[in-house]
Amino acid sequence: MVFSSPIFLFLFLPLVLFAYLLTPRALKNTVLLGASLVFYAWGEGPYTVVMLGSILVNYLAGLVLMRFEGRVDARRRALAAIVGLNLALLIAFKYANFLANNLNILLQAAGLPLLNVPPVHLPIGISFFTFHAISYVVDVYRGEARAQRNPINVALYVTLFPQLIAGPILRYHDLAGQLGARPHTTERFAYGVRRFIAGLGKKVLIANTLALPADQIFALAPEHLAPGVAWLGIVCYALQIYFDFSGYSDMAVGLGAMFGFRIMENFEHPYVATSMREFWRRWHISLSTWFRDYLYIPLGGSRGGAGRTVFNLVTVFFLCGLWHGASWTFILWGLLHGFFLMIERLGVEDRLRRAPRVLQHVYVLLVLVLTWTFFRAESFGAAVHFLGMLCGVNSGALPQSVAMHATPAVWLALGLGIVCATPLGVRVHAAVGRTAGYLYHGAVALGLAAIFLLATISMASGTYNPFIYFRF
Amino acid sequence: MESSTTTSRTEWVMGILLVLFFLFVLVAPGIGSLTGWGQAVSSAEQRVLAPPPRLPRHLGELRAFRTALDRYWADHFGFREWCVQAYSRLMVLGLRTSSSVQVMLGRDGWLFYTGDGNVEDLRGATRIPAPELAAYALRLEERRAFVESQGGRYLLMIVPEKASVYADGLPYWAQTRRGPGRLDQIVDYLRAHTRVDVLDLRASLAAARETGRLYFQTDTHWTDRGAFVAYQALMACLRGWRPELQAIDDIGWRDAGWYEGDLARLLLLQHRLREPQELLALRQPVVLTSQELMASRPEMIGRGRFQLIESTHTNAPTLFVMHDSYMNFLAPYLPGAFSRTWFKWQPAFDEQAIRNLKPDFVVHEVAERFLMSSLRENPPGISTEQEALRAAFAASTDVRLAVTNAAAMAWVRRGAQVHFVEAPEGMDWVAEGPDPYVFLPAIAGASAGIPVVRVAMTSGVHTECSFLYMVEKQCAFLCTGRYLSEGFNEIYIPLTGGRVVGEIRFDPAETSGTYRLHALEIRMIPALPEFLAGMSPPVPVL
Repeated sequence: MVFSSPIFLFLFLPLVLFAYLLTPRALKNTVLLGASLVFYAWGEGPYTVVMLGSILVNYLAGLVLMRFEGRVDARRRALAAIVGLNLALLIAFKYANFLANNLNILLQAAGLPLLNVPPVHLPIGISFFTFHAISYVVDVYRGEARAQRNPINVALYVTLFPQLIAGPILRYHDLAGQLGARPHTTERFAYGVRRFIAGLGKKVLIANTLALPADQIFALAPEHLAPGVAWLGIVCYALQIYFDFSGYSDMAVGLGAMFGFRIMENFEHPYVATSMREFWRRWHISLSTWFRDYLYIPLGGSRGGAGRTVFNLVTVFFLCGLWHGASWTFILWGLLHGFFLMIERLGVEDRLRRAPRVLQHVYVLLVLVLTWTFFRAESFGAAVHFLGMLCGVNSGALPQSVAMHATPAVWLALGLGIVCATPLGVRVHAAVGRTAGYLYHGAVALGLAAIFLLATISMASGTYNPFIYFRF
Repeated sequence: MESSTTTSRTEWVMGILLVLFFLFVLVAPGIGSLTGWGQAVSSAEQRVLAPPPRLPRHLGELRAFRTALDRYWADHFGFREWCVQAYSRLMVLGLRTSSSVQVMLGRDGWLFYTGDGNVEDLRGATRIPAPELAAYALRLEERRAFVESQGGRYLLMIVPEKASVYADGLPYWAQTRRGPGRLDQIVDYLRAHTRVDVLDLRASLAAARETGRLYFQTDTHWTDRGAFVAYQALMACLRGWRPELQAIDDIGWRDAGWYEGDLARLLLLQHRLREPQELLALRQPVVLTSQELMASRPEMIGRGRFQLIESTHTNAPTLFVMHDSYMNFLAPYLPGAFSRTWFKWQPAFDEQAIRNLKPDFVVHEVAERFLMSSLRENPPGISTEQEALRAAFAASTDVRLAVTNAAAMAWVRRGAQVHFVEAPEGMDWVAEGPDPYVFLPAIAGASAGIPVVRVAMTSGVHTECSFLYMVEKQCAFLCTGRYLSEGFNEIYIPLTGGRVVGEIRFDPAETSGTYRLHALEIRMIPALPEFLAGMSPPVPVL
């Protein structure tokens, strides 16, 4: 189930909201857990068992870690075992086919018999709930949070439906307190509604509108591509992925607030960054901080000299790419990010800082164009060809025109996307919001209501499936 | 301090109002769905909306219930049509952007259909590969030869797309053609390499543009005026063969109110984008009698459903028309020149009817966009393809699969929407839905040769059977299939495109019902018959 679907918005969400609000405080977590399991099972059916199994094992592991308090070696071994188990689960479901395919290339070259691994279903959100589970056991191990005796709370932390399939990745120690008690106020609920509407608008009105030309352009055969079309495709994609992802995060924050949770922010206008280091402080913050806290710093961070730092960075970004998907294009995307962060650390950032600010932005945007191309393309070859188009090196024999894809709606979404990717709105609100009266707040509420209505009708229109000839 | 308090109160009030609005929008569709408010469902979608889901009786039915509820809710939530209409108005009338991927907004109110590869064809970006053209021409040549062997004349009448006549109504980016379209290629090839008579209406329609609107702006079809131009061109062509044919020319035009086109309906804006309609009025009425003939009646003349129209000119020639929706505009007056006219909706070429009726003319009317897709393989009676495959299959002793009785069904792995019942002379395959399929075992052993599947099956309806399979070094499935007619079918299907690997998915039909399978065999043949060898392999589908 996705947030921007009629079944979620017009059936699941109202039922869950009313059930939750009418439930006594002591049972609220149980209701929310039940709703989260239905939400997950709706899409994954029997694979919900995989998630439940993961929850049970990590819950027990938390209790074991608590029991081993004071026994350093035993705790360390227990932690290693449970983290290994979590990673094994992730590898089995997400990477088994990828690993087998790559191994088979080597085996074939060596003339050895090939592995026959049947296609493995990828349970949605497995990357997210596995990282949540790891966060739980590591936080308990580190003493940053107490192990939960109540399995419902552990299950709710892992499955909380607002963040279950698209994040943000919540750290257990941030949420532990809220699982026990959290305030339910009108202001908080209203804030949640505002954030949810903003997220839905980002997703449906901007990301979905830009997805159409982006998908069409990236699916074009080489002979139909042209530099202008390629640029339109990559710009649409860059904005699509940002508004899609940050829209989901906003909806997660908003839904969380409606249920009394304070969920961490995941994006902070990343496209205005002036370096790739700054970009990663603004993009998918929950993932970058997770990798920082649970991998980069434990590996030694930047404390072991230049060589060690480079190794740590490359390792983190290799895994970051792999986390996004089992494909070499994702890995290359991660490694490219790691490369640019590395050269920035090795002195490029200092030189950048001395350059005009506009050049710093241009640098970041060009790096993003390069890396998003690998992220989006179906294969390495397709990405290289697409980059050739962007540089004007290649051109198709039967090129399409920009006007074919850039409808007035796409131009409008591009314009809105570019403005909303900057912190302009936040700054205006910060400057005016506190002192403004009815007119301003009325206009904001009216604007949000209009966005919600537009997003709703746009989403509803997605269910309209007419045929020119009658279908029985 | 006071100002801050006022602001926070203001913010709070506005927040509450927004929350109320939010909750209202969340619950309104559900209430609408329960009470029936806002549940009006347009017939414009031209499909049967999803039925209510059946409650699951056990865990195994949960998945089906979930899918059914998803579909039902997506089709039936309250105020859905209002939302869709509002969206369409906003996009089309407000933003000048089509709300449907099937419709392209042109200039000055013109709408164009984008389905069936139309857009790429408009740009001249579609090329029919030479082998495909050759196979296409071969099939038409077989039809022509067959019709002539029955004493008639065969004419291929191609109805141009609206964009081929009103290219100036297209958006600017679509007006520059980069090469010849499919229609140019086909017409040129047929004229150069076959004896098939082709009526290409583009020149006649282009010349008649000044007389009035020949195509609807908001519909895929031509107007009565366009249809009459086509009629005149058709009659001129047929009179070249039989000069005694009398064409109608004493006509007038009358206003007939507003027309709501199919493209406007696709946008759900048929009430906003309607256009005036002009109807042809015959000054001297044509006296015709009409009756519908069906295969199940004693007058059985061929396969499926026919419309027979008789005129008072009992000595005039006879006409057999295979057609699509464009011919409906000519149907009221075209039969006036013939003693008997049989109309048959495509797509299958009904050689049985032509054999029985022996019409003087066989006109095969086809819209430009269906040129490739509508001309499938000829029936076994006249198809040299099937004959050649049958001979190669019979000559082969390399049998890889033979499902001819219930015991052999053990080789077949059940997929979905189908179960089997033992029956005399074979097995009844009962298709429970529109997408029944099973899996046939992988073709084991040496890789030399090409697998050919023989399907002997009795069907109660016109449908299509297909095979999905993977070939070595390709990540996509290839799909190939053949039409099944009502009654007994024996068809031979080569699985080309490379060495077939893995299980083969077999979809026996596209319609629920019972299909009696007499035999399903796979044999390897050393190579395809020469004239089929150049044909392009099936198109990857996934």
